[in-house]
Amino acid sequence: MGEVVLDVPARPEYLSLVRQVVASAAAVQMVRDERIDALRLAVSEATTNAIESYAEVRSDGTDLGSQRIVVRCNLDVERVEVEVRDRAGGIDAHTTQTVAEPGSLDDPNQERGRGLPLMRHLADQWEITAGDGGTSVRLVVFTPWADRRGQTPAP
Amino acid sequence: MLMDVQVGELGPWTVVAPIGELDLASVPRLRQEVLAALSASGGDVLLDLAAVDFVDSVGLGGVVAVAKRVVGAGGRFAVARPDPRVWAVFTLVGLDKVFDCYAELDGALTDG
Repeated sequence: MGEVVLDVPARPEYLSLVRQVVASAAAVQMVRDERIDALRLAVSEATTNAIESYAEVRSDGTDLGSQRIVVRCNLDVERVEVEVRDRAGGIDAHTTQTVAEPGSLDDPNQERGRGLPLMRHLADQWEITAGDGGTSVRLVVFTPWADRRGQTPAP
Repeated sequence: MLMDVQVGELGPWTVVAPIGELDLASVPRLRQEVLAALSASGGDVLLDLAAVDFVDSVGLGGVVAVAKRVVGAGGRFAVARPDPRVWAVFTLVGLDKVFDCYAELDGALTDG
């Protein structure tokens, strides 16, 4: 198994770099283009949430010290797993239990709130955990060699 | 990364053409350019997506926001020439049913 770790400042201008590294890492494992697109988008959502979490805490006047996001890619023959971790306090666990389908938002004209539904829809598996002073989002896509027998579908 | 935003005219339309990716880093610039274009010429805005190769939920939200501003000011808003992979993201969240979309810029002329 290969591991790629990217540690970046929690700023919007690093989003593009995160997407590029994750997409290139997934390509190493021969993940199909359509799944790489899905992973690229899901990782963008997770990283955006992390950046915005830091921004919210900053606006409270809390000193967070160095504000960084760690993106860890675990590359396996059968799966690519990406973890996006921040130390910005932690997402509300209730939020993650009420994630809607991306197309089912009440008002298609709303400007926010599509990030979590997209992550849920795009990844083959996903999980958000809060704790240790931050939030960790784990996103998994399967490679063409994945043995999916006995796999439970993504939640 | 948003490399540039080009603004031009096509018949009644002000054509706004961002180049690059629409995300948290670039949406403020897109909003700024559309607002500047609106205050300069007002009216109808055609968002040319031909050179946009990535959009995420913040990018979509930015497009929704500028569309609201244009329509709120009495103009028409439409998108044109999206990359299929970019349009797939609009479709995923149901925005393909919200925006008029032209495969070519000329389509907006014959329609309008």
